[in-house]
Amino acid sequence: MSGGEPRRRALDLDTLRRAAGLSLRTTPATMRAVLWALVPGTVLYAVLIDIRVILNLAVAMLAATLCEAMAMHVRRRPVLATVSDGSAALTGALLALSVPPGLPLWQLILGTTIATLLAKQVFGGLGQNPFNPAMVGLAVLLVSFPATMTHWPHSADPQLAPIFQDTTRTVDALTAQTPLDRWREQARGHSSGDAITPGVAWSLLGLGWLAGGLWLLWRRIISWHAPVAMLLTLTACHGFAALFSSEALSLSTALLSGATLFGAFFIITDPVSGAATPRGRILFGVGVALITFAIRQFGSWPEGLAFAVLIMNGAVPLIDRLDTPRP
Amino acid sequence: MSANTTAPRITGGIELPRYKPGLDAPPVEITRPDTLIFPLAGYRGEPLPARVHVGQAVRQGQLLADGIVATNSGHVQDLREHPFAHPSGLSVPSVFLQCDSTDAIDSISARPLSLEAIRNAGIMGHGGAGFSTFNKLAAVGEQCHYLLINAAECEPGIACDEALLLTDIDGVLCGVSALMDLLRPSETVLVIEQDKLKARKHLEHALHISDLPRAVSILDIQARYPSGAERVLVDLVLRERAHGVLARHERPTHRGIVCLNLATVHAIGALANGQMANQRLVTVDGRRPCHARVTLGTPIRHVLQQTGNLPDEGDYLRIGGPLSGYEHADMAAPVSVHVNALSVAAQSEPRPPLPCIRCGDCVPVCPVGLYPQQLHSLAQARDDEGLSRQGLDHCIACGCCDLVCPSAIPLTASFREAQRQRTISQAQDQASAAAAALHARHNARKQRDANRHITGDKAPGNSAVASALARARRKRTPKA
Repeated sequence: MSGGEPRRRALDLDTLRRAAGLSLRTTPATMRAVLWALVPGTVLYAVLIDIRVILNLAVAMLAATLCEAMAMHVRRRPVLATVSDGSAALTGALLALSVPPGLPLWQLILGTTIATLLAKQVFGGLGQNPFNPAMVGLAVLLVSFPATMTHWPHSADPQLAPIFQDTTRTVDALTAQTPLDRWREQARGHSSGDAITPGVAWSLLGLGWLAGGLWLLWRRIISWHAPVAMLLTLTACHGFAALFSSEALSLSTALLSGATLFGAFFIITDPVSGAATPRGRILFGVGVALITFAIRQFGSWPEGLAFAVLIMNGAVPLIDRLDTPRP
Repeated sequence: MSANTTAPRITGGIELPRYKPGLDAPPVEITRPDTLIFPLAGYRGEPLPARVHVGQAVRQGQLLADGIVATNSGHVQDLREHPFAHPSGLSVPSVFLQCDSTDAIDSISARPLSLEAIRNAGIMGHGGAGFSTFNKLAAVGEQCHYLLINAAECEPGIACDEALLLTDIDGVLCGVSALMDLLRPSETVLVIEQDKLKARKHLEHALHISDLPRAVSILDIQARYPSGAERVLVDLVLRERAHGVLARHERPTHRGIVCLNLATVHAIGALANGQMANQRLVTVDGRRPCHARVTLGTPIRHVLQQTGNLPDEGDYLRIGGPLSGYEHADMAAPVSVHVNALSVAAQSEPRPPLPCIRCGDCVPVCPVGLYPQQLHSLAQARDDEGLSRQGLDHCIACGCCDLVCPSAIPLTASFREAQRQRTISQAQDQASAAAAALHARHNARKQRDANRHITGDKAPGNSAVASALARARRKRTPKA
């Protein structure tokens, strides 16, 4: 046929998808979108808390990708196609952002390896893992290396007023002041160095995660059910607790601290290990909130979210079964 | 007289951009080829026994097999395997009709139209599925509550019903009138999507000046795919009229509802006027989009050639729309009544499927309320029982879940395949159950005979058998 202008052809499925605005709805694009959504929070983290988080991110993402590539090679599956879907890199990134910035790199790599190989590849790879891989890695690190895993920099999340922390190193950890109290003091003129106080830094970081999360909601990458359910339930729990005890964490600290908002928008929204239906996701969010609160309030772990998520991951088959439509 | 009502949209489904090629010009009349081909295949693609033999002269309208009529007179040149328009791409025994120009017609139907006439004319659904219209009408029972005329035509790329409304609305109303006489429905509703503006104007005008026995109301529904699927449409109307939707096992006819495609109604109208319903409009999309008026039995290649749409290197032929249609390799297959669109599209690399990430996007778009994510994992696990429990049988293969899946998993294809596997294994189960029962009876009889042999009892005697044997011996005719 003649060359020159392309010949008209009938509508095909790909063109239809593009015309209907669905062409960006691919799994690799979803993973990439979540990575982009992590940027605001990451920037705030690096600037306000500790720049070493960038190194951790690079190391963890690389380690996760290499682990996945190696696993796919051993399983005799397509390496490039799998690695390019971005899910391993995302797992590494989420883990890197959940651990203390000063964590020894070998521990971070170990955690990433466990997350990728033991929590994901062993079950069959993408889509098959019953547990959130980043949280599995985090939980293993928490239990195996309690000292380094709870050693946060002095501008640390006071919520992690850790019982494990070495008392000679950080004075802040011993006070019973809330970060907001500390902030008020400094604002009245007791400035002690940092213009931005620890508590505020962590709250700002929380807002960074919130910004990313809201963007993901707007892009319809995640649904609102799990995050909203979790945050509301957590608010209710902490609000309730505040009525009874003055030492309970203030609401703003409880909600705006890095771990909570990060978990709400980036951890519990993992589609593979979460519930599949909207109602199921609400239940999932409520469950995570309740267990997190219980661990924070009554347990000895400062970081309740990882365990809460893992426990709820175990409950997901039951939740799905309860909410499956019966045609 | 017509009344306007607005309806909410269907549940599930997905809104797609309007794409209706070939409506700008009048339909192209495709000349009848010398040889017409009629695949003797039933509703599910099963081969049908032929009612004619090679060399036989046939008249226009004569039944070649159950539900398949000759659309022209002539004689049967050959009867052999030939490809037909079916996703399997297989061949089926087909009648090759050498046409003559005598146009001898088998029978002329007179008004009022009877069910028998519809059956003898072999009228089948024109919407794409090809269900026997006679069977549908006969199943409605005593009281027909609703006669629904399906002019929704929801799929982008198919516009033959819209073209029919623009070019031959009188023929359609003829059919409506005949059906109203035949079924005496309590209410007649013509359902059309809102975006068919010009066609709707034609319709309104025609209804206004027509003399139909009773009012036909027009129901405008939101343009959403797949609102034209029969069950989905019937549920929409039921919901809109504040009745309960169809239960899973129910057919529309169980509730006294007859839902017919617009082109089918047009064919019935032609029959009522004493004409042969031997042509249909086909949307042809490709280099030169148009609508073709095709005599049934015309090879697809002939249609593409005359409309200037023969495929090039790297193109493929698609029968049906981009979502519900299928690729077909052989253009020698003839246009049968369920071929509503022919497209020549470019071959493209399909996206390689990734694993299911359980995002749940497929669930809200299913128009039948199924759970494609779970069906997929059950299909992979080959869990037949789980599949039937989750309602695989109700999947209408609309393709909505395919469209939204971020992992590009060919869900619809895997459901079709799973349905096919279930049909096969159900048939096998039935066959082996029958064989097992036969074997058990055989063993029991053997045991009884053995016991009698031991105890020395006389056989109780199957009296019918014994008396028949006695008669044969006496060579007498049996008593009544």
